[in-house]
Amino acid sequence: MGQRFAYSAKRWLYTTNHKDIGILYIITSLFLFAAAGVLAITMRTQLSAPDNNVLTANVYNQFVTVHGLLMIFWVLSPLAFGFANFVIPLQIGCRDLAFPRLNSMSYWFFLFSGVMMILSFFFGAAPDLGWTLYSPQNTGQFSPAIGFNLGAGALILMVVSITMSSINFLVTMFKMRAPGLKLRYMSVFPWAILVTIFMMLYAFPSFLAAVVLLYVDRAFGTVYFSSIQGGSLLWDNVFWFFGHPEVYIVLFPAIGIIADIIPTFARRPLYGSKYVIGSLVAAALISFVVWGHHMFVTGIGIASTKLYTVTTIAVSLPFDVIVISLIETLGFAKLRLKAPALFALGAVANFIVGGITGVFLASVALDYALRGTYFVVAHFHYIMVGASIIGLIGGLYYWFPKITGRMYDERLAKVHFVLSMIGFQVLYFPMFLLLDMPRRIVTYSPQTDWGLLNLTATLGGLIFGGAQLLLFYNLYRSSRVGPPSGPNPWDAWTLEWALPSPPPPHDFDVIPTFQADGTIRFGSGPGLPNGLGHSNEIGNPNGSSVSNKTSPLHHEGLSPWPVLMAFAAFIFFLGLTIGKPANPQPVSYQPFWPLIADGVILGIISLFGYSRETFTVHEDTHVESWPFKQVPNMKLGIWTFLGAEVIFFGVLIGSYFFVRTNDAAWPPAGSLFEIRNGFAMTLVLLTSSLTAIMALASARAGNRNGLIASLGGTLVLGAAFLYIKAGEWFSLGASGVFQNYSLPATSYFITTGTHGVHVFAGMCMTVYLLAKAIKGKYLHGDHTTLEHFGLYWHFVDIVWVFLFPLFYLI
Amino acid sequence: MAMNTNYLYLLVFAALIAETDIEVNLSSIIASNAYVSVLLGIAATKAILIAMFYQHLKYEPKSLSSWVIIGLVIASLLMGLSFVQLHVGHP
Amino acid sequence: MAVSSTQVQFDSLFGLFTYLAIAVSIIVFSLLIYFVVKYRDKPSSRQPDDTPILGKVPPSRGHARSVVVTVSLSTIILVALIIGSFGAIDNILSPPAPSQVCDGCSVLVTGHQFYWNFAYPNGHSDNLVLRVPLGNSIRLNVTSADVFHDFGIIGLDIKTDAIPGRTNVMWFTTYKAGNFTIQCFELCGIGHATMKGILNVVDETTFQQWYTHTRITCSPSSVAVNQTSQCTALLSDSSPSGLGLTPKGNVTFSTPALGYFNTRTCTLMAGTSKGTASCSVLYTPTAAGTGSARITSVYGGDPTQSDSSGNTAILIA
Repeated sequence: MGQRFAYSAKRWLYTTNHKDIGILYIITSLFLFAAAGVLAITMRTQLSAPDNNVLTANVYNQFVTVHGLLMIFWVLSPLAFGFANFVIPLQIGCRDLAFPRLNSMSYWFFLFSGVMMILSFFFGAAPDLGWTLYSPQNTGQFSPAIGFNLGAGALILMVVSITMSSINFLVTMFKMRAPGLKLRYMSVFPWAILVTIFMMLYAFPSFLAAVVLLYVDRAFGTVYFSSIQGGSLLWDNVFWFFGHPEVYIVLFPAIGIIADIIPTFARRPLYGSKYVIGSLVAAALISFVVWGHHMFVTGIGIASTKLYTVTTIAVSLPFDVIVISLIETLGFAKLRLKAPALFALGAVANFIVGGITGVFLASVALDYALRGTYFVVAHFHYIMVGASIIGLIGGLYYWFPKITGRMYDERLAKVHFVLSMIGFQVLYFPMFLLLDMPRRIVTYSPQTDWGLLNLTATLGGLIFGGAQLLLFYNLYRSSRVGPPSGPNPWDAWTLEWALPSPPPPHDFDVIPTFQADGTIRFGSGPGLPNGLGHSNEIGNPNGSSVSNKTSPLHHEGLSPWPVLMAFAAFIFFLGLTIGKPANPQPVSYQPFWPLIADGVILGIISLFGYSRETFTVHEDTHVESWPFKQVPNMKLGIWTFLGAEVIFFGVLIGSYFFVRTNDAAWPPAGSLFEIRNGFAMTLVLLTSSLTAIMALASARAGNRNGLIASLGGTLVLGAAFLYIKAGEWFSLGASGVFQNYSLPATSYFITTGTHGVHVFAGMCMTVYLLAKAIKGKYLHGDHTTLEHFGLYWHFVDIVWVFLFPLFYLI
Repeated sequence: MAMNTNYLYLLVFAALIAETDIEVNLSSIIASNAYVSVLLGIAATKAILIAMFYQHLKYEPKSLSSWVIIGLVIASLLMGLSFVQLHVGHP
Repeated sequence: MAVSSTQVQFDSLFGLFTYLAIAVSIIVFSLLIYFVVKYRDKPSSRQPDDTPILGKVPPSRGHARSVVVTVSLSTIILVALIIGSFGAIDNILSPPAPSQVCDGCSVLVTGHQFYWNFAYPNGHSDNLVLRVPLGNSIRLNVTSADVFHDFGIIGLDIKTDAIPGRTNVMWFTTYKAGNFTIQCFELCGIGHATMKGILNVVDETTFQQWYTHTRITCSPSSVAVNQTSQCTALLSDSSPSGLGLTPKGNVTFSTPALGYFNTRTCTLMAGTSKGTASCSVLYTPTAAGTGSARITSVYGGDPTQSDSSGNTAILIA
């Protein structure tokens, strides 16, 4: 760690190295953990006695909301991905993620989104409806504070960060594994991360759609969430459809860490590792069909409540397998109870309690009594703190030596463990007994008998919170003066322990090779058993990606564009959300144009700089890449992104479908929107797909004129599409539709508007491509950018192919 | 390959335009709920044509299609199950 | 002592879950602790043969048998829980029809920021107390006038969401007299923690006495234009203490229809039955309008009585 403190600020701002970014994530999330923890301690103080007035209801509601949002989005996942960033490339034998600059951008988007969330406190009020932000209290009518909009903007930036990360990790884990490293050889932590990023890819776009819909409702007066056909149930569905996979997203990395730590310290392989991995996959799949258990008492049909009871109870089965396998791993073991192992086992113990109480809540009949009570609060804190945080802390102690090169103080860590576990039980177990007490109340009456249990919980909170100070002190001090740890203090087998502690910037001198019998070869000799994989030989006969002995490899690369791009986005969203209210109805907020303009300008500059920068990422052909052999990394990334877009548009269309089937009265086709406009737009866009593919064909054939004509045609047709749309919107605006949105107008504007933004983005890309084509690019076998643009553009066309009949013809 | 491919692209384009024409004129031919299914069916075939030939998925490894197919399955789950919530067995 | 049908059912099902949870926990925790203690690193414990070492993928370990046993045993337990839950939910979601419950036992509950309104079939409406008779099935139609609330009764182990534009039916049979706290269980704004009500369970006789004497009636109930009707507001002790106190204060009348009152406000006078009071005004419609005039009476309450309102309709020929 020592030499990293010597990094300049510029180095930290511009780094794209996965290890540096991992450290940035870890430190930022620990800082936000402390901040959100302070919010929690304040809340617990308020609740320690009945009729207390440490906090007003207004402040309390904001604290409980921001505490939840920060912990879930800005602590649990980023901490896990801090480890993933540092460790996964090492564990799979590559030197960085597939897209290092994108990785850096992910971090900076994450950081600025956190800043925005905290800023929300200072603009009227931060969001104050619980992290779940239910409708219709989340609309501008009931929550007019501008801080709420900032919160929405922060969430959007955070989702963008996560989507970029998911794509990056997916391409990396599929396309950059060391030769011979089949997926089944990976230990559980990389598998857990792989399953997590799949869930992230497909769940977060639903949340993004929900927040975008909410923002548009608030800023423009559309009525998705204020109407009774949409409203509470629409939000419940689009939010919890994301929300349930999300709680597994924040849990699985910790399970992965636990499943790597326990075998290491038990000195025996994981019992039933393929069943553990299979269980993670099964749980991830099932997680997409259980979300209705958050809606048990909303009045959905009894058939649905029974379905969700069954699926939710069923999802406990894979977790049973995981817990039993972890326990059986200890059989005939030689278990060293160092801090990582203690935390891993403590997490398992808490997970058992949390998981069992989850089964209680899975029963719709019990939920009729337990919904919205502290029983629920206890259940999810047992999982999210008891299993996830405790497991992640185990990971922190486990990888601390690898990251810093120094060993932490073991005795202090053990004290930290004991105090944390005791404090945790005293804090949360009483809440199971408070199953009559509503959640999120600022205070309660002395006539209830809740005082004693609440006071107990508060004392537990103080112990638990105070114990974490030991963690921070231990890590800080040890990073400066701890004894050198050596490369493999735990005698572990995963590849990160083959490298020095901390690893050199380029990680492996020579990429290791996995052989069919399971032996791992480091360097050109047989696999070294003593943990020193650092070979003096450069140049792997298996063909790794080292160019020469002295050239800085790409992962030393510094680039200013990611942080600038993120800052531009931050400014832009600030401008979108910060404006003062113009008039109460219906448009509630004025965009703050100076900031929006600054954001756009800086964004364009950053994009330009990003694309012009020569940043080479060498793609190795000798790596394991099943099932995407022959697919270049960038193309894989684009298709991954399109998978996420399917969910995003799917939720937008689904929301339309939801309110329309919930409303008897809908105007007949062609009465609100002229069919011929839609027809014209369809023809225009279909033709633009033709010109786009012709452009690619011309490029392949080296035909410069054909290329320029086709690209120019695409641009013109895209502009025509937007022109027709603008005309349509203009005439609708003139007839007063913007002043008083109906539900049909709402669904139309939001869905076709978002699509229009995608068209506009495509046109910006076309301008760029045209400029390059005129200069002679793309004609000599370098047409992949053109191909990638086409994939995006045809996708946008496909979306319109569905929007046209859905909005104009029915 | 270039000439044949270009003809293929034009052929696909012709099919797309023809289908759009059919969609627009369909309302006078079919009434009721089947109409929506037919329209969505036509839209789906257009989408498949664009995906297979313009996005080249027909010639790519099948694994590459999986990203959007999984997305479609998951999005359908959301729409399907939320429909069931509201319209099947309301208490 | 049993409080309600819902509480009895909950205790029974929750009890089943808890017993099984404790049994499973004891087994799993015992295993965990046993293994940790027995196989911890001691000088005497031997080094396992299959210790994972750097340079080799660890050998596969474990039997499918373990998975099969775990999944089978778990499934048996979980199926029992599912069956119990299904039986219970069938019950929860099978409310009696309005015609099958007592007169006054079918109440419309509306959540507002930040109070609950209870509206009875006889037009009586109260913003604090939901009074119901003991030993009867009560049917509640729950909705919201503004945001997403959740209507829960502490002690009866039952609640349901109050969603604007939707009505959810909740029902229970009362087994115990007394007062129970009603509270909101979904964060609905600043006043969420204070959004409370009182479920006041009284014996049937008291309930009937109160219910028939808490209403506004107009006689004649059907008049011609310019013909006068006398509207009487009847009030009965609504205090949760059940001491038979006489409501005091004024009642104010209003109507959106075209007509006039001889006076808007009258002062309550004690009635012949214990704990009742009433007062009257005269209403004369001046036009036919919609064919009926909705007359609303509002009572502001007094130190022991909650404020309430009532309404009725006069047909205008």
